[in-house]
Amino acid sequence: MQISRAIVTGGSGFIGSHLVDALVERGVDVTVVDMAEPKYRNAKASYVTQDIRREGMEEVFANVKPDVVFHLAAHIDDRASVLEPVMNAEHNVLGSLRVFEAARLAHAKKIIFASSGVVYGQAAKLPITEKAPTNPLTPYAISKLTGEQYLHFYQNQYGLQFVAFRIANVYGPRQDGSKESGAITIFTNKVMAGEAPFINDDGMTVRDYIHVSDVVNAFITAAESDVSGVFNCGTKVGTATRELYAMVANELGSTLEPIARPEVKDAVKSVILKPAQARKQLGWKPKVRLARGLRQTLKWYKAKV
Amino acid sequence: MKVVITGGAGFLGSHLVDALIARGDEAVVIDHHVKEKHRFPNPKSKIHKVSFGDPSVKDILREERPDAIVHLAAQISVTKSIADPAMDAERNIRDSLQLLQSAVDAGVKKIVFASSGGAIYGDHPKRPTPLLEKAQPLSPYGVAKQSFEWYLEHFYQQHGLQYVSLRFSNLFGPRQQVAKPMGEGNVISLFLDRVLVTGEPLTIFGDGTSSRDFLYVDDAVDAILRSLDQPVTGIINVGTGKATTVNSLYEQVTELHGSAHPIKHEPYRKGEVLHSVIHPGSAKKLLNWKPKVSFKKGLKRTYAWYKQHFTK
Repeated sequence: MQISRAIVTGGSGFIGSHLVDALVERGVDVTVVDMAEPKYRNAKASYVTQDIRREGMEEVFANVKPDVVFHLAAHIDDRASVLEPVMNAEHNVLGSLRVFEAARLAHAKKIIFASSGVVYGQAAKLPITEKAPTNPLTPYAISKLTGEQYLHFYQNQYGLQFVAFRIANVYGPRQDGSKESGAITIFTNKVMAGEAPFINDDGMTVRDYIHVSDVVNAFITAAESDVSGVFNCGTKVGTATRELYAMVANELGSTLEPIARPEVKDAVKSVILKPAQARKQLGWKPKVRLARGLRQTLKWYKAKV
Repeated sequence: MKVVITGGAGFLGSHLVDALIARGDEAVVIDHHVKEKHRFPNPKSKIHKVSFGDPSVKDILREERPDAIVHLAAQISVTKSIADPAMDAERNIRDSLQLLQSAVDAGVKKIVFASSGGAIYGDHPKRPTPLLEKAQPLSPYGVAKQSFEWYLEHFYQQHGLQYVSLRFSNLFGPRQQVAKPMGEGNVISLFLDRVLVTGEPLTIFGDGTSSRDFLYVDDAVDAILRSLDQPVTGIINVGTGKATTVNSLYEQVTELHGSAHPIKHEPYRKGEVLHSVIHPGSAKKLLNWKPKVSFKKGLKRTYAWYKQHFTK
């Protein structure tokens, strides 16, 4: 499907801003719906300051009449969701429902939803395929899986297509280091400030790091396809925190030893996502290997300073 | 035992409160609609007329310090959830989640939740549907029920709040209401209302072969009491394992009534579950529960109650 108009919720954020740039480059008319002002504004996109939880969503969508809605706006802090589950649900469950409902009423044809690999919890088998049972352990994970379930409803009931990507740990230029999902960003900021970063648990927590350009590519490929469903968006490569830090330190030429913080446990020890279905049904696969993506990202951080 | 019951003046809730009080337990009801028509508050229960989603519930729980909560109040209409999914989620996810948080803050040990087998399993190919079968809800109502079960498990893991989520099949019995004013009952209360009160024709969707697993309310109350009494945590399927088609229901209702009643056929409604039968195996194993009231007997009692209550 040729996309002519798209709404990107959370388009002021890290992944969203890259997605907006890529869509604009393809000639798509892009409207960003975000409660925050963009840090990386694209001059050819329109920006609407709008909280997805609040009144006004339907009007914005009715005015834009998007073919595709990319729903990225979310409360993304997994740990904070444990402390404030109601707040998290207001953003990620009720807010998402408002987005889906507005998309339906505006006759959008497809929703691309940023879900997360955390919906699997601690999987029994690695790498994780889409067939693995879900086991959401945190309110954040629950909210993402709930969003997927509502999308099934919208598809069955109204024929509104969707692709939900269960995304691995995304990194790349523009990532904000204040959120826990950005280990690479946190390490980089610390080392560049000459401070030793913390490494939680035993340092052997394994995550699947995917470059933002690969995620953006998956989103656009899915939006242009006729495929519906739930897809893993990962690289099938796992990296332990300790190993990741060594790569960052080496690339930055630092000899700083990290500070072990064994008392901070990671509920989920290992996530490695096999993107078998995306490869099969969308012809998508990740292109950027961690070593190269890391180098490119660190170059961006250095240039920023 | 001191138990807080949300929705304790409603259909299932009032039967539960009666049973708790009959056996000497203390029942505290949180029910926003207690003063409305067709509610059944037990005069021996303590009643807080407030919605379970109200901020004051936190203080009520702190003051009452119950041993357990039975959470029955909810947005109960599948049809309304389809028309307005956010409204359903506000009640059945957000407000319910707020109740969990307040329960933890008040030191409550256990919560029993009325989930829904039919809504969570959707049109499951395996019938009767056992506990572990994968679930794909068809309606926002079912999605919210499933989601709240995930939150229950999280609160158990994170805060030690024990829970039992009872995935009931289709409940019926005395006091169940038709659409007005309190939202939808099920096909049984609708049929009885039309036969005994309004005289309107009975609406049969499709060819009437769609089926439900009807569970008499006393058996549901029994499952809740067992969940409160026994040291069990988790999700449990509560049904009879037996299917009754809409056509068969029509025959049995008209037989009780002693005369036929006009029928109006309409096409199936989208998003509606065609067949739902819940396997009682997990309830037998985990609660030593099994249904005691046959469908025939339950229907007879329900018919008698409607006749007495709604016709003069």
